[in-house]
Amino acid sequence: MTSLRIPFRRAYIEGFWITVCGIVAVSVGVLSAAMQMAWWWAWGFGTASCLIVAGFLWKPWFEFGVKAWNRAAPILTAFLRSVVMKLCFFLISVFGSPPGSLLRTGSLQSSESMWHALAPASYRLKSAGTETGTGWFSELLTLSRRPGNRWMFLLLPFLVALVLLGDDPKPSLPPSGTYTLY
Amino acid sequence: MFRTAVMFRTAVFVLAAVPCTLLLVPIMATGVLLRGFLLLVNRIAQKLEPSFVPWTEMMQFDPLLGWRPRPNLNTHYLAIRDDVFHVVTDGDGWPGRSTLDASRIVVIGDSVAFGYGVNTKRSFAEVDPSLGVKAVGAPGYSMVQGVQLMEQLRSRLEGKLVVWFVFLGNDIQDNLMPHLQHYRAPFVRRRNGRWEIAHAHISSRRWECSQPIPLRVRMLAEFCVPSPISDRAYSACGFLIGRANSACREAGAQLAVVSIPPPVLLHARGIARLTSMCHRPEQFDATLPDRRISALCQTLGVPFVAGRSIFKPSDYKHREGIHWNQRGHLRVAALLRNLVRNRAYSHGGEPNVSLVR
Repeated sequence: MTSLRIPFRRAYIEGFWITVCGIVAVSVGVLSAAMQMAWWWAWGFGTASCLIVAGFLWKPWFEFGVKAWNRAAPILTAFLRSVVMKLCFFLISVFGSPPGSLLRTGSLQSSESMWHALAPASYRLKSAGTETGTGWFSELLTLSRRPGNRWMFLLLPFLVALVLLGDDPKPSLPPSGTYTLY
Repeated sequence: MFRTAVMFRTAVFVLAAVPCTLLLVPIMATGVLLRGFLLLVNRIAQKLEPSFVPWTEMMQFDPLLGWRPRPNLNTHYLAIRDDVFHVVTDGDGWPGRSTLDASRIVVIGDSVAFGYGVNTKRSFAEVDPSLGVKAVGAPGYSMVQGVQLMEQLRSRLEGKLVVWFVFLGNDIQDNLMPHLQHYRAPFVRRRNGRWEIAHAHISSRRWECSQPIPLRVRMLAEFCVPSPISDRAYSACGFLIGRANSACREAGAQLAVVSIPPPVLLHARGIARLTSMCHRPEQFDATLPDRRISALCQTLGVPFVAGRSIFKPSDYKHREGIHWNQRGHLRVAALLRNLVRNRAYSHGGEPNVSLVR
């Protein structure tokens, strides 16, 4: 899962407005019914119709909706991603690092190094899925099953949240001025 | 003692993880809602949008021109930074179902002539069937391919008006380039003081000798300033217009050149940007390409229409910013209608295009 952006194509703009109108109609209808209003279904239908009529009165309205989504969604997800990362960092660095630390607590000889050599098997990821961005879930499970890595299970919800929020890669299109697509 | 400390820290870690994970719940719920919404939009869009083929599947290798559209296409393609459009080609690969032989006007050029960015039936060549327009062109063609087409189709041009669209955005530069992106293209070169068309390098092999040119280094700005570079480019244009004119005269057809400005040449902001890009901003003149090509046409007795006097920024696609929208295509149809009406104008004169302004 990657970007939450909606392409500016007729079908996608129509899809956006059909979805928005459906959600608005159902939400307003349910709300009206909950408030025991008469003609509750008409309220839902009427509100959704207003959204469509606005587009016929003011042409850019339909594009404006998608534009607003494309502006708001990345800002919102970027904010939420930063919250997730901060929580994750807080959890790992403040509470997770002391039990998982390999630093020796006893006194050291002057010639003794504080570096602790790890066996490559304890940190190296082997599956191709890690490099290609796929298979991260099974990789995490494999890693967390190793001795001393059980705490990694706690990362799972954070990673799921990051996947849901996606990223916002720059569109892989030619520069805006490129003349031909051939 | 040490073991107890580690156990205590682990317990603290697990205890801290619980509120942190709980804080994730609203975030994950928001993510699920956003994803759900997007999924719905995508599903509906996929139902509404016709399936399309990649652009490369619509083109085939041509040993003379480098590439040309496949014949008898009836499919959809996704225009870059734009939408999905329907394209239809005839048995020769040129847009539209009408034949060259049945047409009165033949429009030769690149993607603007091809009708790129609108459905074929809504392009300038099809909006008014009474005009009898046949578009012959493909995206990426330079003026060199235009000349080759006129020479190739010479026997079928008799009595027709041949309107040559010269896109100022890149044609002047591409005339001198042996490739377009990774495709080999015919080009003009100077040998022993004479221009010639070079096409010995054309093959279906990928061009690897130089990198594709992004627009930021395209030389439109330099072609708006008098310099040895622009002199060379316009000299090549002169050679090509002369050769095209000869081909049309031999065929008994009349050639008219129409310059197609990119929108950047049509508004003050674009002109300011181009001015800042050229090496001598004080000498920048947005009308120079038109004036130079007009002078060349005048010398050869070829009618010339300066697109800057006809097109407006609103004739171009706002988001995509290069090709005409429906309004632009209608304006081109009006221009062609006017050219046919004024067919009696003297060679080298400026046709009356007031009706299309």
